Amino acid sequence: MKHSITQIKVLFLVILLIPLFLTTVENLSKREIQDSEKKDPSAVYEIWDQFGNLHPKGPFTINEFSSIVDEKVWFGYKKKSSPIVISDGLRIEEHLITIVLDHIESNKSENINKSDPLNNKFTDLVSSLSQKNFIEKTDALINQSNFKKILLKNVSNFFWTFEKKAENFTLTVLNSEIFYGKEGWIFSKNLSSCPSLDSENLHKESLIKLNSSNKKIIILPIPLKGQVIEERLLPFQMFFIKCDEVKILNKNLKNQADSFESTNYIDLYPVYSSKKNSTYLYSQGNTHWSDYGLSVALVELLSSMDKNSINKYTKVGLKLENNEVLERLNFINLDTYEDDYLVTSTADFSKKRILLIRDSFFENRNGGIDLKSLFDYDEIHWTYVEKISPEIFKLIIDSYSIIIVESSIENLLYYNLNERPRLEILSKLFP
Amino acid sequence: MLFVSTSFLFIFLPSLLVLTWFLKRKYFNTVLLTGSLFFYWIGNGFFLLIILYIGILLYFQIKYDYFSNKTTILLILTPLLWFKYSSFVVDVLSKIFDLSLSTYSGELPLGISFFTFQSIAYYIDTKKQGKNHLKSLSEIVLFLTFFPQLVAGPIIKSIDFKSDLLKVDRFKKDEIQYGILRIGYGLIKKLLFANSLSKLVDVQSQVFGADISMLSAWTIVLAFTFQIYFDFSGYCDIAVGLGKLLGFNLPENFNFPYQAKSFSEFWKRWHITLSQFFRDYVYIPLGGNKKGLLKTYRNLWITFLLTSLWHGANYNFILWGIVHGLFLSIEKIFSQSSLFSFLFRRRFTTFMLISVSWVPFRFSEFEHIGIILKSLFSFSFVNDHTMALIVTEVNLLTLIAFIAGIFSVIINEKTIETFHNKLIISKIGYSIYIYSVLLIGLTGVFISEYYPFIYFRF
Repeated sequence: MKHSITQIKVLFLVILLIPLFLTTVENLSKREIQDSEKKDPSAVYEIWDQFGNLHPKGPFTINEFSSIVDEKVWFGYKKKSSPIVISDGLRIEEHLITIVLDHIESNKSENINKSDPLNNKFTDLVSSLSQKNFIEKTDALINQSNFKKILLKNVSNFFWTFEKKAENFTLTVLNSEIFYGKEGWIFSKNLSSCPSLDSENLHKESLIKLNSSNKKIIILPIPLKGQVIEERLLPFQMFFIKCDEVKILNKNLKNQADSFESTNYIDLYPVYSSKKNSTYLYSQGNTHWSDYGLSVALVELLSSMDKNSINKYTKVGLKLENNEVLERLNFINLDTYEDDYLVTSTADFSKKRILLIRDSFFENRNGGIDLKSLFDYDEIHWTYVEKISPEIFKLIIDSYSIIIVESSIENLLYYNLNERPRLEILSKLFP
Repeated sequence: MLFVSTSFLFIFLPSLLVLTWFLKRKYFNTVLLTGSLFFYWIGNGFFLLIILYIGILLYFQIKYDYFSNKTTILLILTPLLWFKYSSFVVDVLSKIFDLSLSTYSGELPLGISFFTFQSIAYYIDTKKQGKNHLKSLSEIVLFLTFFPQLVAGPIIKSIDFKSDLLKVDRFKKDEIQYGILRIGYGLIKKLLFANSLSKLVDVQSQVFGADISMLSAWTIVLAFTFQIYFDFSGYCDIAVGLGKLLGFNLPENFNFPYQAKSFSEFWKRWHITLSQFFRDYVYIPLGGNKKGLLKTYRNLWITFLLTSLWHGANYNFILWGIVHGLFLSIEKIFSQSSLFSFLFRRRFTTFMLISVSWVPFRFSEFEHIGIILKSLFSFSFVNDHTMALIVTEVNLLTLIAFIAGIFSVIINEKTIETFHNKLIISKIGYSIYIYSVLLIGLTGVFISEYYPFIYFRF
């Protein structure tokens, strides 16, 4: 009997200690540096956090860099003396970055002071003596381990097997930012619904204000995948996600902008609608466009930037499909292929200075590289635009003659998390 | 530390179990006390001083009787009143007298409501019975900081705690197996069921002001009804399970509450130890139902006002208490009516009414409470923004959680008991079942996003 209790106790303890054991083993073994980074061991890097702040002790060599990234989640990095690139940030002239970052930094500290509810001394004392950091670090030890990733990957793959076969119900357990349609097609949870809109008047004033600036502004709202690839939605999803109001609003804004001289508005809904039967405009495992969807949009963009240009896309072969969202969120590797297109244009923008205000559709991995092959431009992410003042914004845009505004349609026209619509934010930044 | 956090499950718990299971018996109390103090300190820092203050107060007061009973209870209540209720009182006074007062508005010490009430119960029992079961200061501190039930109950009595503390044959095979099973159940309920249902409920906070159909409103209300049950009963399962692993029999806090056929029965099945506390230390001392009809209702309403305030110093909790007080009063008024019993003393009716009563519990703004309540009976079946968001949150887990919730209403408790009894007969089958439940629960630790237990706020 005694032996039996001991067995139960030991088995239970072993089960509980497995994660810790595997994580410890993993941490003891030397962390591998990626091959691409190994090539240049003498290179030094600057590191940025999510607020764009440089690491105070940088730049670092690649070996130092590996140890730094363990301490804090760093948002992006650049190779010293290379063009400045923050992975999800901005790529503009260095002096402009400094202006933006300084401004954001000062706003951030003001906000922290304003929102801090712990403003009496006793509470400060209690808080300063709290040991919660210790728990966070301990939790992070296992939560950031490969052990957890491997476990999640297996669970994900298990459900993915069923997901692909699901006809009437979604079966995943691991969706946080996406939902599943038929055969595991993923869709963004942003605006997966249809708010009531004043489609006649909404944003009219914003467009008028943008048009009154002396810049050429091209607005490119990207339709939501769920409203274009409806046939991959499950019946009960389609019922709720179908949204004609969005299309009507977009059409009205396009019609309004057609009468403007300096502001163009691209309505991709009818364009996509006419192309959707040929091949998929969005990838299966990505809420962003496929190479085909991108190429169609690029042709529209180029035509809008230069009305006399001849722009076309040509199929040049196959390429690995960008299923990055599914892979990132659910640890599933999808090695599927899509048609590869090459966009060509007779337009010449070499003498123009172009600024792209971008969302994720023109991130390098989703379309930025293709865009850069067509013309040179600087870029600034919406994250920054939403935080800066009109004065700073004016400093930034002064030297540019063309401004391209790229955003997913729900963020541009309806809401952006709890913020105002981006079109409204942008128009208020213009004098 | 949350029971579902990796630091608790994979570091603290195995370390403590190794020490308590394999060290000599004479070290048991010391290890448990040290572990419990560490458990609270590591998550709450020097809020631990509050528990130590109450422990020292109880020890010296019971031993030397410095203060009157009322003063002692007030002294025990002082930290709770300051940390939990002072901002609410100041808010009310500021509004009434147009004053500009400031008070504590920071973090609430974890479990303060629970260990305060447990202390009061201990003090009153000791005085009433004339017998102190906890002789030393370390025993009192251990009683107050005993980590399986420290932060959200169940509220335990000193006599039960002491008898478990004195056990000679502490660890039994069946008890440990049952403890592991309950921990597994708790993890599944909390991490897989409650957390996935919470996504459906949280949808509403994104779209207040937007349209909401009757179907969406009922989906949200039922999702929260099941969420709060799985959340709190899941926590209690883990607490009971941890108790079993350490040789303690913690009282059950839930007994299939949604199977109740009346509100009074509901309160005998939901948060049982809290109900017992208010019955034994508020309702009965006020006179219970022995001093005439009018005083019975007065006592009932005072008890429910305190119960609602216990849950939180906010107007919405008072409204929630009023709703329950009202239904309990109606039940008492019509207790002799066979027509009332026929119509209302039914499981389904009670369940639906209790579900609706959770609305003021979940939503703090009166405006939002009004929107949901209105939508519940609007008979509007149009496609709405809220339902579209709910649809995007539907997945296998939410479906399973919903079905499990419905089972908790319709499956008879005896059926579940029979299922368990049959499982135990096959020893191998029982072991496989226990460890499968545990592993599924532990998987939940990794796949579930971080959501603290609802009752930790209290």
